[in-house]
Amino acid sequence: MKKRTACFLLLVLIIGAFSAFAATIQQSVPKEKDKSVQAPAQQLPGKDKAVQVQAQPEKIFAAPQNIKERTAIYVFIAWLWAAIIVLIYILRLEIKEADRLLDLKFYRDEKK
Amino acid sequence: MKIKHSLFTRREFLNGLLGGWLGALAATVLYPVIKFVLPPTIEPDKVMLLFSDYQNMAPGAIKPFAWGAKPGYIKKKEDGSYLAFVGVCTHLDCTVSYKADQKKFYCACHDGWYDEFGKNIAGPPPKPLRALRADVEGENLVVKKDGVA
Amino acid sequence: MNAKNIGRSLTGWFEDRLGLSALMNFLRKKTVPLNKHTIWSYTGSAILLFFGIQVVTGIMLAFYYRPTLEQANKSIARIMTDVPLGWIIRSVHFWSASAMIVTVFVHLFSSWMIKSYRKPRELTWMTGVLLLVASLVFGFTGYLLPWDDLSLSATKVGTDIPRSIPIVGEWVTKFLRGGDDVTGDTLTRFFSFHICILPLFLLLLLAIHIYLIQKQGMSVPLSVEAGKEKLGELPFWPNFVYREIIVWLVLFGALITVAVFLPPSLGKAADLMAPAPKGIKPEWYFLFLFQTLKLFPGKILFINGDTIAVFLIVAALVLFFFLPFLDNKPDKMKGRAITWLAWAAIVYAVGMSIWSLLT
Repeated sequence: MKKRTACFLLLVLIIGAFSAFAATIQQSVPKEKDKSVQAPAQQLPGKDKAVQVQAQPEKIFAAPQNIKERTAIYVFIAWLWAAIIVLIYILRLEIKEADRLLDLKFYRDEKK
Repeated sequence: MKIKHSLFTRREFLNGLLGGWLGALAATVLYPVIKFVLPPTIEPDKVMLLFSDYQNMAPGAIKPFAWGAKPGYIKKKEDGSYLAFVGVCTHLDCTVSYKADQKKFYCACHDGWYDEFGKNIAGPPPKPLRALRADVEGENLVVKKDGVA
Repeated sequence: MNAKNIGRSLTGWFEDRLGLSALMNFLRKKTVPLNKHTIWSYTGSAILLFFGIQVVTGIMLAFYYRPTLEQANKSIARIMTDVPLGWIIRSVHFWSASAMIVTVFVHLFSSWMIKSYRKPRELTWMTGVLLLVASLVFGFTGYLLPWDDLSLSATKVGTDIPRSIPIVGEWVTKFLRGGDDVTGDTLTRFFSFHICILPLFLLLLLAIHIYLIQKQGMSVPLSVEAGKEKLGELPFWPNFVYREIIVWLVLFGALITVAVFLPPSLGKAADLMAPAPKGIKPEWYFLFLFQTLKLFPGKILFINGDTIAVFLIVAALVLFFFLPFLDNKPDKMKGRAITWLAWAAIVYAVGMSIWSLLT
């Protein structure tokens, strides 16, 4: 029992630490891309209307762009770990069974 | 209702659980992979062109423009209003050309023909050329998909 | 005609033609020794896991990356902002690279300390050292690909180092750079190394490495060999494999979580004419070498300090490569000294890396 609570507490600690870190991550906010496209080649000289390539920012930070994406990522991670924990539980059952068969020398006869 | 024999053994059940959950994990991981590998097509909702480039078209004339990543054609109708087509053949996606002397669109790949309003008249194309709205708004000629404000 | 029967007849069809059941039988017979060192047996397959992730994410990144001077930085910016979930894939590739190299070092030092390289496993060790070199070169070539200020400077320094080797140094540097200087050609060349030459080289070495392990079986620690500890054995399939899958799942989950919450950023595109930015450093796994080079004075007795440093490093690598032959009396004093040397190496590498980070 003690080992299990320790593992669980460690898990909660790790998740807590990462959540705290994630909340403080810097985000780049690119302009909401307007789906209209200016035809660039047909500009008259002197007219300054074109949407040119934005002056390159110093650094580009990678991050989810909006709240929908951020929630989706939390859901994804939660689902990932849920699946992993369930799989580890199932695998421990499988290991128990495989070790039990090993002790019984169940496969010994085949090897002979 | 009690059945006489089990449908599966305990071992089969456990193995099935393992396989099923591994599959769930695989699907979870596969989803972002597929989203990455099959990015959404970027077709613009509207394209703004400088009206001055199309102002002096003769009635009935056709001029090409860029509809996002696809070729397009602007047509000035007899009454002075504008119409636009996506210049992609509805048969197998080749770029169509315009034959001004015959007032028809022609696709060289498999001899497909469309009339001056984009309706498919001869050859393999199953549907007319896709039409877009083209309106003059101030200094711009704005080409829009149907239904976009 | 139910699923089970169809499954069985399908397996039978393949069995008649491929005879793959021999492989499964071998895996069932293969055993893993059970002792206090068994935990280190998980490191090898962990490397394979991270490498597999690198291959998959690498292929995905290669769908959008453009390996030219003008486009490299822009294409990665596009991957990070435009392509759906591109930033996650890049982040996974970035973190899995470091994870793989950490695991390679753990695997290396554990093998060194339990002396798995004793006869007949010398070749396994030697292919392992070459695999280590390949992994580090993977990291070095990959680091240039974003083509930002930091990676350009790091590559300039890194490809300059072979120059201090007498006679062949110039040629090595020219070969690596595709010319005298680091240019767009260097980038394209490094890309070719990273996705084609190195993968083929590594896969070949890996095939030999894994074949040798299967043929010779898992090594047994000295104390067990001497009869002091009872030998326990675990069948590889299914007992060890199930445990291995648990390790893989935890490592995979940890990797993805770290990648999602700590994605790498991208500096702006490198300017070939600009002066080197302040505080350039190579990737963490080269820091100890970087710091070692810094320690050597400009000249020692008329010989270039750098040349001596490079010579010492190459000499150390060669001794390292032939370690199984140096350690021919593993249970005697010499053997114990070599084990302590492993600890010394770890302390040295970690110490130098921390020193490098602090300055």
